[in-house]
Amino acid sequence: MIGVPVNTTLLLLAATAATASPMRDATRAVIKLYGAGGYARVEAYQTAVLIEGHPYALTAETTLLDSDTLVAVTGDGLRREATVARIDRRLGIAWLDLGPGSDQLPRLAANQSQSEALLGETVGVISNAFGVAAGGERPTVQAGIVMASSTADALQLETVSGASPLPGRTPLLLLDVVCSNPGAAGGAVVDREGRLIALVGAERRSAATGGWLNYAIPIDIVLNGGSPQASPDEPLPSSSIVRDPFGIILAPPITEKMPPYITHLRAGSVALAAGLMPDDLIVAIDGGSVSTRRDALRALSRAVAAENVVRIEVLRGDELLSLRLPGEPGQ
Amino acid sequence: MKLNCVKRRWPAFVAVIFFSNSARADWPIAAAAPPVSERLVTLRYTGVADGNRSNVQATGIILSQAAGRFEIVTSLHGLGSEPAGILVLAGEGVRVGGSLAGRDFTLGLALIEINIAEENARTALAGLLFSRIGVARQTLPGQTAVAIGRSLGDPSLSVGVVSGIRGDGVFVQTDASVSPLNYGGVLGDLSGDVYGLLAPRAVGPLSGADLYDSGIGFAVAWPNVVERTAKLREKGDLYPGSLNAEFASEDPLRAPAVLESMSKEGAATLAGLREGDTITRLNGRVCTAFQLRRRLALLDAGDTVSITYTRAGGRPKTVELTLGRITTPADR
Repeated sequence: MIGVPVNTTLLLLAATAATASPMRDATRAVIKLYGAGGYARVEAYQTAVLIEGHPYALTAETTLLDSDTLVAVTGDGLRREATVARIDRRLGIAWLDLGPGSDQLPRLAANQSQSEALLGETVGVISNAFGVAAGGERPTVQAGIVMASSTADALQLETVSGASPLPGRTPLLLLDVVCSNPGAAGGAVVDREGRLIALVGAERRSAATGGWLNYAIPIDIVLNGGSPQASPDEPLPSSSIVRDPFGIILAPPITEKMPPYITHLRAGSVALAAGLMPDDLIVAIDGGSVSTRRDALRALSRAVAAENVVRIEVLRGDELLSLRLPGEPGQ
Repeated sequence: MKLNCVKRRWPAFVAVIFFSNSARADWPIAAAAPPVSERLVTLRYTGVADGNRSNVQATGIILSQAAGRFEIVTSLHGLGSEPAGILVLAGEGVRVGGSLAGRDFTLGLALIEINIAEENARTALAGLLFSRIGVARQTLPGQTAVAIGRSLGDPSLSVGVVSGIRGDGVFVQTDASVSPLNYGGVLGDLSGDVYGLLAPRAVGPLSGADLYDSGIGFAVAWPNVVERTAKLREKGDLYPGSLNAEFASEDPLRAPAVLESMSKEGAATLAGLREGDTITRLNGRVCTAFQLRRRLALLDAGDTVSITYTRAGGRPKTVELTLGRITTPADR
């Protein structure tokens, strides 16, 4: 009988050890950020994160950073003045200098797993959502799973004032937890072991889902200065839009989102020779889907300028056809 | 004695407690997804005349095969008006154009047909037929529900529970996130069996799409998907049925419906009903005004129903009535 209390204690100890939460510990490395003078409907607060091996704190680029004074309340409850050290406009992130002594503050290890491997994984979002954490209180923790990995293009991410447009091919994580909240931008997305997987971005809407997007930028993209996939598309000078690339004439833009139907093909043109016909609907150029007349003209004009062989896919009735066009402009 | 057992085996108890907390409780969810998501197809519609969007992406399920012809079932999202083009992406690199084979405007489903000439592609797609996925044996509120989609090309997952069963078993309500990312996809349980097909569903004044992120989403229960697609094949497009009459009640939740203004050549008029008639039963079942509206919402134009009514306090009479189509907003 004497053995029982000892075993119970051991069991309780084990239980406690097992319930020690890496996610809870991770909150110590998440910073509540405040700007001076918030005004109507523009939050004067958001979040920042400290990462192992990086002296500065990481946050999302928003209008908050324009404030004259930025105050960072760190995990130890102390207020520090923060200054913007570096902004990466392409990814919409910024690094903040928290001043002397900040190198002693707790930091999160980074988990740079590939996005695809994270599908279905439980994550915690640690942020200053709604600014509810006052004074020295820890930031808010929410939990959910990784919903999908996608790109800014596929999600038809819309530009929000104060945030730069994300390059189309930037990989993004979609989360099955409502993290698109005021103040959550710059929040930490951590795995069950409390390692940083991604950064909650500035609030953005998605035309694909029709609502605010619960998304985060994978940390490997941020830390590696953005992979080549994340480089912005080259802007196309308007003078190089060709009206009839390869001899293809598209239906006129009756509406802004006119689909790219072919109405005519110039006699003797490359497109005619390749087998394109009037009423063909262009759906993809070089594997990239095009859904409007404008997208199709731009993609085709680029191909004309690049003088490469281009693969064009069209829907003829229900039939999907794939044709190759040589890279010379039509007659 | 039990206590002696504990004394000897406490390392096992510790191990169980330790591992059950930090163990991969999300394994079942991450594991339930691939067998299902691999069988879903991505649908892309171009030239959609739907508000601001010119192209819409959705998910679909391969329902049946007859030689080279495959049938895909999806939700009506993006197909309210016929798009300029439908592109179907399936399996490993199968890209093919599709055609609209039927639309169910009552429950919000659609059938898309594709034709595959090449033998290898046919075999590959045959392997994705839905018949190889099981249907959940039980659908009870509180059961874990996983919403799986493929609208973006890559799978998407959302977890919640079955929130309720609505419409006499027709709809499964869930708090998993249901949105264009997974419309046309699958709501399933942790074993990878399926509750139903995810579809936007209007609730009160809000359209289905407005409910995104509200914690309310719906799937059409699988047995109903099978029944409706069979009806689509047989009868073509299905439209919501209507009495073509307005009805009201002093207490819709408790009192029966009383017919008010009626369309001259409408369903109710043609059946011999008149203004002021009180409808007491639909298809033999007693219904209040509220229930009548609810049940009619799940019936199609062209369906024959029996209406039991009383006129000026007289004896109840029953007539057969063929539901008409909704012609004015008042017909809803």
